[in-house]
Amino acid sequence: MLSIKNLRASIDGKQILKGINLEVKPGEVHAIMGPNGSGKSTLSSVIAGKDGYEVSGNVTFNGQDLLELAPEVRAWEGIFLAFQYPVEIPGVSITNFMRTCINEQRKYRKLPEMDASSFLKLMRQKAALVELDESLMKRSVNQGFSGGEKKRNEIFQLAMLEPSLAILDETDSGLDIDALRIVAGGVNKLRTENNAFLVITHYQRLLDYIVPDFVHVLYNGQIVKSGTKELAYELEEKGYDWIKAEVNAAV
Amino acid sequence: MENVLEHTLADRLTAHLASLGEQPLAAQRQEAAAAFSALGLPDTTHEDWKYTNLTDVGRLDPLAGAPVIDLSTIELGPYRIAGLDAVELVFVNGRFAPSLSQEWHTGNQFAGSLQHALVQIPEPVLAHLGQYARVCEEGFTALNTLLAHDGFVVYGAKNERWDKTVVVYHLSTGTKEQCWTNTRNLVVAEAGCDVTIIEKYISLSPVFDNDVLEIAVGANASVQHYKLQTRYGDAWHNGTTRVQQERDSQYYNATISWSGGRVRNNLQAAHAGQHCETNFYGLYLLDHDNLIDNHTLVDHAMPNCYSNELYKGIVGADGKAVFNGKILVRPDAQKTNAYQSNANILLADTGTINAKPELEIFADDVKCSHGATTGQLNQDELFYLKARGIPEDKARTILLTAFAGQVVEQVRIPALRDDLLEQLMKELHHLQIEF
Repeated sequence: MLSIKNLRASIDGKQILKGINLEVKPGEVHAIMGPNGSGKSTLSSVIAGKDGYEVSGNVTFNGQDLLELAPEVRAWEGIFLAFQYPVEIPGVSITNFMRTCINEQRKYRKLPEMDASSFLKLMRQKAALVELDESLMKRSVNQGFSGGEKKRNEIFQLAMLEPSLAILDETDSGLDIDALRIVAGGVNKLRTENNAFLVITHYQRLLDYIVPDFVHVLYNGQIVKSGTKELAYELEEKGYDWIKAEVNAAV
Repeated sequence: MENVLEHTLADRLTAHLASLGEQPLAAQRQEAAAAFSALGLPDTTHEDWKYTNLTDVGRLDPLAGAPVIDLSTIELGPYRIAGLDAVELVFVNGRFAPSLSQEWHTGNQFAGSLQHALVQIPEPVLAHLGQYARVCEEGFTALNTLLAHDGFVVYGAKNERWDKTVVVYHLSTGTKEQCWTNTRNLVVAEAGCDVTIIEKYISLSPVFDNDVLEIAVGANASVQHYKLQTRYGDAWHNGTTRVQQERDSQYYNATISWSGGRVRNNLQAAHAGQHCETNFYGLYLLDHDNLIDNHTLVDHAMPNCYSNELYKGIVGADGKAVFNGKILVRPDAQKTNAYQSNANILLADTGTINAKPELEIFADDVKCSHGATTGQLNQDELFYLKARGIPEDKARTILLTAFAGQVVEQVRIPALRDDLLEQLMKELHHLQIEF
């Protein structure tokens, strides 16, 4: 589904990603862990198509050259980024925002616009999935939301748009344990054999709830170690220093 | 050269005044003539006019006035607000157009022309006209007082509540030789009166409007006032609105300006009693070589009053916007709450915004705040929308609509709000194409 080969990215002349290789297949959950500043968020931004990066290497998504596509086209093709810091958009209600997103996606897929009653039914159903209060739907996107509400709103949008590849960028940061359980529960209900998740996190905590098939350690712009969920436990126990030591010794 | 011209103008104005003979406003016009010969027209060396260059206006002849227009050629339809129960008053080049208007006069309510008001309700008109927009303060006001032929008057006696909204259409159209209009307007809301007025400015060809509106808001009275320059062609406008508020009164103003021209709005409200509330809202969208200059003043002279001001603007290529918002808190105005916010989005490098908040506070127990921001569209917001599958141009429109919409939401008449939202979408589309 997603194939990344020797991906490099720099911003303002500073090299952040230094040759990433990663293969993600349908039905898989990959966790990307790593210390602060290792390039985790850059990787998610580059896959989603954020401006401002100088990018080289090869990224294909279902056989298409992803780096050639505008961010909105990537979204229509089935890529979703749950933001680490969801943006507040004053004056745009969640309902109108989601209706526009859904209908743009349907237009791309040559489907007719969704009628109002089906749309509202879908909203209600998906909001329940992450226990997002319906009163929030009339409010401006993320404006005045608590940290937990913003993250639940991201997963709600994920549920609405049903992407084939979802990237969760530090979705666990700033969440208390109850909110974490709700968010992870929502994600687990959305897992199928046809979609895949890239879970970017600093801590192992989230992976207790969203159990990954693979764990990769990103350090200094490269994936330096890959393994199964046991690797996450090892990192939790021993921290990142031993990985850094290993890498530095190899150099 | 200019001095010679101004001297000549002063002489001609004196001659004009003499030709008017006996008339109700003779004394005021006399005073205005003296004031104008002392003041002249302001230029960019005046602090209040430093961003707005009126050299071109100085070349026009105010005495030439504007042509008299055949009213049968005027079609109001396109300018009407759908679904609004209104009393309509139409002025064409500062002259009342009875055939297009429905003058309204019951015992306690009047909506019509100044000329008729001077005959039918002379007491309130003469008690208030010229009391708030003082001729000694500015040359434009002096000229207006001197030359204005007519204008609208809305009067509500004590405790009158108007069911209908008064909509005033100011249409103007000039020729190369005759392109100066002066309209003189007055609103008197006596104690406990409640009235809503919508002014629509429409220019059909290049012209310079020099208008003055005085609004007296009595104790416990409420005046809601909209000034819409939304189908304003390639014209110049200098509009002065002076509001006087008695105790426990409310004045609400929304000034919405787009579609070309060069516009200067002078909006000032003064508190003459305690517990007044003043709300100013403004929205401006412009590009090309257009100019929109909003100068506002809230004069807190009494204790325990509240004012709130929100002005927002979107400026495209080669547009120029000025926001100068002053809050004056005089020594007696303790327990004042005064808030002001001005936010601007620049769509192109060639747009200009001069934002100048001014707070002058002479009382010590007050709450005042102001904020002014100018920037481009927020790139993080734009990426968020694109990453959800909204194309760039649509994402920009959504964000700009939301930005401007925060002012339109403050419009309290649903029919007008819908009308403005629809126009806003068109205007944004226009600006985006220009971008």
